Amino acid sequence: MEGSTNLIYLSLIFGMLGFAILAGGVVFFNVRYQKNILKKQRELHQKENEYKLMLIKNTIEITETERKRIAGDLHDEIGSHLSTIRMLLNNFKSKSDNPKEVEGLADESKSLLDNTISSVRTISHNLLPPGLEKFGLVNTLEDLCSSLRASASVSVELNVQDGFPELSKTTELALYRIAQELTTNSLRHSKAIKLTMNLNFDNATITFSFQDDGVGIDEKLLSQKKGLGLLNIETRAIALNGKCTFTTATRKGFKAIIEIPG
Amino acid sequence: MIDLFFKVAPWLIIIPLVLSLYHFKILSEELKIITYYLIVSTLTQIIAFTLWILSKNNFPVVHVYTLLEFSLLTLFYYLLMKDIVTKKMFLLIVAAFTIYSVVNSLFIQGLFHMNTYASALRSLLMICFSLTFLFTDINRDDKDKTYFSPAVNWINYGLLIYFSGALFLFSFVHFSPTDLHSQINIWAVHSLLLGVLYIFLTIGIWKVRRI
Repeated sequence: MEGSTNLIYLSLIFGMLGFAILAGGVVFFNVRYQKNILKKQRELHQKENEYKLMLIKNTIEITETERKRIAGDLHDEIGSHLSTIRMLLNNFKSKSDNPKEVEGLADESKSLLDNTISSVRTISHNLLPPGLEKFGLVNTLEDLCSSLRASASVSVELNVQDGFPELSKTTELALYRIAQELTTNSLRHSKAIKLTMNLNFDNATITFSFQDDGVGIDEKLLSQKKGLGLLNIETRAIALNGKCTFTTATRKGFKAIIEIPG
Repeated sequence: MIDLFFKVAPWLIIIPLVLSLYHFKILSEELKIITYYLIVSTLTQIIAFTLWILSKNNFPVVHVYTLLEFSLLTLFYYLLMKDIVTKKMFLLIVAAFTIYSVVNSLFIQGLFHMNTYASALRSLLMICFSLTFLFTDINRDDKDKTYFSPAVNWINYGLLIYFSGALFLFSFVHFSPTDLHSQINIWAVHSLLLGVLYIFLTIGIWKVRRI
């Protein structure tokens, strides 16, 4: 009888402690679980911050590269042409008594001025496509397609959804630059024979998609988004509060979809 | 030693009580409920202790306390889980428990005996609330968590541990030996659990101070 009483007594004490310890275990695992979640969230935030930093760096890099290119063009073409014209104008004084030589100098100066004007046009065209301001994105993309068809042996198709709206100039320029970057990539690297571009829209989104039938991009290179201007495309899309998706497979072509708020 | 522990541990409640009264103005709504709970618990202990000194039966005080404690702690969990518990559900639970507890006190166990049935049910319900909060809190986004989340978590952990032990005690205490030595040892373990609860409550309210 006493043995059974002792057993009940001990069971009660150890049962109480056991239940409390069990609850303590639940608490312990909950704390660990929450700590793990917190750690993962922190890592995710860190990665997001790193990604944002990379995009900012890339934006600065794009601007700097563009500035260097313009500086180079101005110095190498306009600068050198104008220096030569200045030299030719100096020769006018010394050769003023020889009309034939003056005529030769005038012709040479005129030709150099024509070249300079053409260079200025090219530089300004690179900065802002001339048709974009006046005729809008669709016409400018059609011009781009025409020049691609003429200069490269590829078939280029542009499909525009009926009633495609006029967008802000910033958006149109960004989409044009994206199209330029994508077509240049395809012509340089993909060995594609057909390029297709689509412009679609609905109430909320403008979608620009690009596809080629080339050799595709190595998945690793695609995930790094380096070296192919893909990061530039992504930067431009994000600057417009949009997003872009790239899909590819070896020898199965490359596809880019850019979606921006309408 | 056990005797001393049995007498001293319940008075650890003074620490979280003083802390919570000191920070009362900055406490959130649910932590203010915990302060009321600490006030009710301390007053109950003082009254029960005085009656014990005067050699009078203090079980009626415990019966009233069980009801007040349950209502306050249920309100605490209701405020924490307003998004999943409606006011109607909260009132229904409190009303049902009150009816059960009063019937038990008047007709089943009697006002001058330990209300183990009501205490066991209270402990079981508290464990359910605590675990529900624990698992809903896991799924809550970090941004939804409040300024007071760390404090509330510590308090919830303390309540879960205490009521888990208490559930076992109140479910089986009527089978326990009635000699004084065994009773002191059993209630000393209960005091230990109370001590753990008060330490967790202290840490919780201390966290508010540190935020």
